[in-house]
Amino acid sequence: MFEYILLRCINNLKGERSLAGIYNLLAGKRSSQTLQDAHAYQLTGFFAIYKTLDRTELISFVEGLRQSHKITIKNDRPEITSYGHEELKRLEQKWEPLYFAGIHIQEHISVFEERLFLYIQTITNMKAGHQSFLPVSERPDILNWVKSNYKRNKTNLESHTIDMYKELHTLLNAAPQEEAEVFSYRITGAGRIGLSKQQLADKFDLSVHDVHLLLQHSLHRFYQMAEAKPEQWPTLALFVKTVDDTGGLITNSAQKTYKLIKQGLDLESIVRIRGLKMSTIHDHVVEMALVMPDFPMYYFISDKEVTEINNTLQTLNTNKLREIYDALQGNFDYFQIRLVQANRQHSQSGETL
Amino acid sequence: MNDRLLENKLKMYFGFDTFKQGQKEIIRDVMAGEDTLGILPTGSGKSVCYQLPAMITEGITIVVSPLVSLMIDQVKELKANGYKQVTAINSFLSVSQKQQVFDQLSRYKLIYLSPEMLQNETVIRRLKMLKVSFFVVDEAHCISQWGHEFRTDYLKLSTVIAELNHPPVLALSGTATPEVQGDIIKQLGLKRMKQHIYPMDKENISFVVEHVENPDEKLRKISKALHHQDAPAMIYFSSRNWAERASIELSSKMPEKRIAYYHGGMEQADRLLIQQQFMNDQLDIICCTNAFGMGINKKNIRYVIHFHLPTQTESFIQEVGRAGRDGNHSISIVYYSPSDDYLPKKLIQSELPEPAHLKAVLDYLLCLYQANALLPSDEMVQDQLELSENQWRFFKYHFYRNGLLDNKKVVFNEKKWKEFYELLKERIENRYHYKMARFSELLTWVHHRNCRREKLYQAFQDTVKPPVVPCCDQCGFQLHDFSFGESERNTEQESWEERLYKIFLAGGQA
Ligand SMILES: Nc1ncnc2c1ncn2[C@@H]1O[C@H](COP(=O)(O)OP(=O)(O)OP(=O)(O)O)[C@@H](O)[C@H]1O
Ligand SMILES: [Mg+2]
Ligand SMILES: [Zn+2]
Repeated sequence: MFEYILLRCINNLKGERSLAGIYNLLAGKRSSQTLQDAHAYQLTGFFAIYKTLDRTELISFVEGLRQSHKITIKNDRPEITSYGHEELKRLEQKWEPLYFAGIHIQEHISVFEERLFLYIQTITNMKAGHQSFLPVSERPDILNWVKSNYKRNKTNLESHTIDMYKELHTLLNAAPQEEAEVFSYRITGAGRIGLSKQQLADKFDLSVHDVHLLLQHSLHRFYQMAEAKPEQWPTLALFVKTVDDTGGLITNSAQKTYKLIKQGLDLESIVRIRGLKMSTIHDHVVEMALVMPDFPMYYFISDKEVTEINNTLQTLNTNKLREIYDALQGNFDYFQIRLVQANRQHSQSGETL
Repeated sequence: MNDRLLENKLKMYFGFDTFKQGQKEIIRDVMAGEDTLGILPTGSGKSVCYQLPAMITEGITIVVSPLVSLMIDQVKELKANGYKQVTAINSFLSVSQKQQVFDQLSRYKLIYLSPEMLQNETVIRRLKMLKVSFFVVDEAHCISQWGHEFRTDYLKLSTVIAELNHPPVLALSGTATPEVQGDIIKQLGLKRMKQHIYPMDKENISFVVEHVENPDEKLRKISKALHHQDAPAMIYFSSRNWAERASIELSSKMPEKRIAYYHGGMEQADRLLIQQQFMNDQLDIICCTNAFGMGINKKNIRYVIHFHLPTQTESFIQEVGRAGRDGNHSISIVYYSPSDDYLPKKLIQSELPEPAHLKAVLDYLLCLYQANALLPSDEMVQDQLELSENQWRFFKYHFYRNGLLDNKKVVFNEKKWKEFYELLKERIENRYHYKMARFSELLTWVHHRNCRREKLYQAFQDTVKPPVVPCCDQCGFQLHDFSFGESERNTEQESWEERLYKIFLAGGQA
């Protein structure tokens, strides 16, 4: 599958982009160039489907394609040969239709994956009466999510587990044999620990690249099915809804800022480290206050100040910053006001993330 | 509290009938409010020494532990056993999760903390509001720069202890030479510590060293040794590459064995799976670097094999301590070839920074100073300067000690910095010689002509207990005609549908 995807990329890019462009696409490096290219060359599905791809491994794989005359490389730009094109057609027969939807869902996939595998481990062990087991995920947010969802479903654990089995079985049955094998041997559950990617590759005589992509493909397919028809796939739909700490809703750049804030850095230091303007960092913070359920306001402004600004916002009942600023007699800067505004908007929207 | 009562509590909370060596003595001192130092071999049950007092005393117990994964394991284990008043605070928690824990801090009796969390003033402030009955320093050798896992964060513990009004302190370690023991006491700033030092030697391990010509011979010997017996084995390598390569070669030499590799360069999910397969007896042999091991409480490991030696005796003892936690016979084998010497040398070099690094780091600090910025997280600095964790740790320690850093703020003084540069260059060299000397000690052991058990523990204690298993190759133990025995194994393959069915609908039956 890795070969098919690479040939497909090289074919579509028509020798107009370098190998780095392909790497950025598959590894999901978010830049406007990468995103534009993905659209322009109809490769949006492949965006970020291989985040752990190693640059040097990609290079050596592509070199292999060159040596077998499927592609040529001019000025670091790979181009498909006519033989390569035949090969592509043959591989297309084998692999299409593919259901990758990288650009739309990639940021949800890893959370979807961790929740799904941990949840399967949990319900099947509990059903088998194994109360204690070592979880296959260590992320506290994933653990908490699984715990609370398990609690919600444990009264009808028996039928719930059967439902989940049926959904997975139906979906895997519709997939190529290899994909079904890889996915079901990846699962950890009662009495069985899943296999690592290397072990899956050895067992089914595949490359580690293909193992990774087959797993990703299952996840992409399941995710989209469950999102489109939750009534048909009710247990899988459980995993689709929400994402991480920041709701997965803020931009990547704001994510980075958020990470630094979590590490306890002050905004001035973040400005320096990230080499961005203070106004941009402020935008990020406001963005977070808008979407995060437990945004730590107290990092930036005291409770008393929040109350004061809130009171003014209420009495004025306007969104015009200038008016609010004046009414507060210049005691607060625009950032503080926007922050409180955002926080109010978030709590009023009543959206449960 | 009398012994009978303590034993009742042990039974009640842990289900054990009797205390293991040293536990009762340490617990008695801790409960009497004494500052206590406990040195007990790996896997001998140090955790109970603070968990039991924490459970039966009013107030909370703080446990400082160096490895987040270790901490999480302990909490998991306690919770799995039905004890809920326990939590771990570390940098993996999100801001809101931390907040949640802090808001309910008084609900807990046992709180595990990573040392860097204690640098945080909010954390200290919160802890000060509680009644701290015991302050526990686990893996206390981390506080000593002579120990094998020096952590600069540990050096601040004495300040924290003072800030918390000096609750009784319990410092625990499994591998500390007398030199390191003295250093622990000194660095914690505790004059009158009750000391409970127990011998480190394990009666149920046989030691073997085999001298070979080259790596291929090692692989041949390993497969000969492990063939035809049911015996979980760990094989230690000094590089990721070797761990992978050996696992492939050994698999082809012993196709009936289930072998996998494990190292720090793997994806997190894969690491967890491999670890659990091993715990679950789904793997026979694991080829690993020292990233594996810490916190692995698998009881039936029969062989710990060193394909490569670690860089010092303490690490070796700790790695060997993974074997035979069930008390049954287990074997340590070292395969040594003369060309191996350069590997630890390379390792030591990679752990220590070079003078060029020193320059780059000082430049970086100067930039921070000029920008009036605070020191970012360790992760960021390491990334930026391309330093290993150990290298950055080393620098940070010296920056703080020499006043170039104060509470994440850079303090600049040109003359002092110049002096510091010279001083540190010399330190690096000294440190290198020190580490090389420690490695030579281990090599001496490899070439030793008398009892290996006595020699191995010599730096730690005067005598060793008579072993309950064959002692060592020098005392007549022969590896080549030894086997733990073998039974039939079902090697039937499952189809993907069968596997899915069994996991979901058949309760995981075979
Ligand atoms: N009194 C006891 N009786 C029987 N088993 C015990 C007793 N105390 C502890 N154990 C068991 O001994 C094992 C090792 O305990 P523990 O993890 O506390 O060791 P440790 O000394 O901290 O090891 P390490 O040096 O690896 O940290 C555990 O499985 C524990 O349940
Ligand atoms: Mg311990
Ligand atoms: Zn001996």
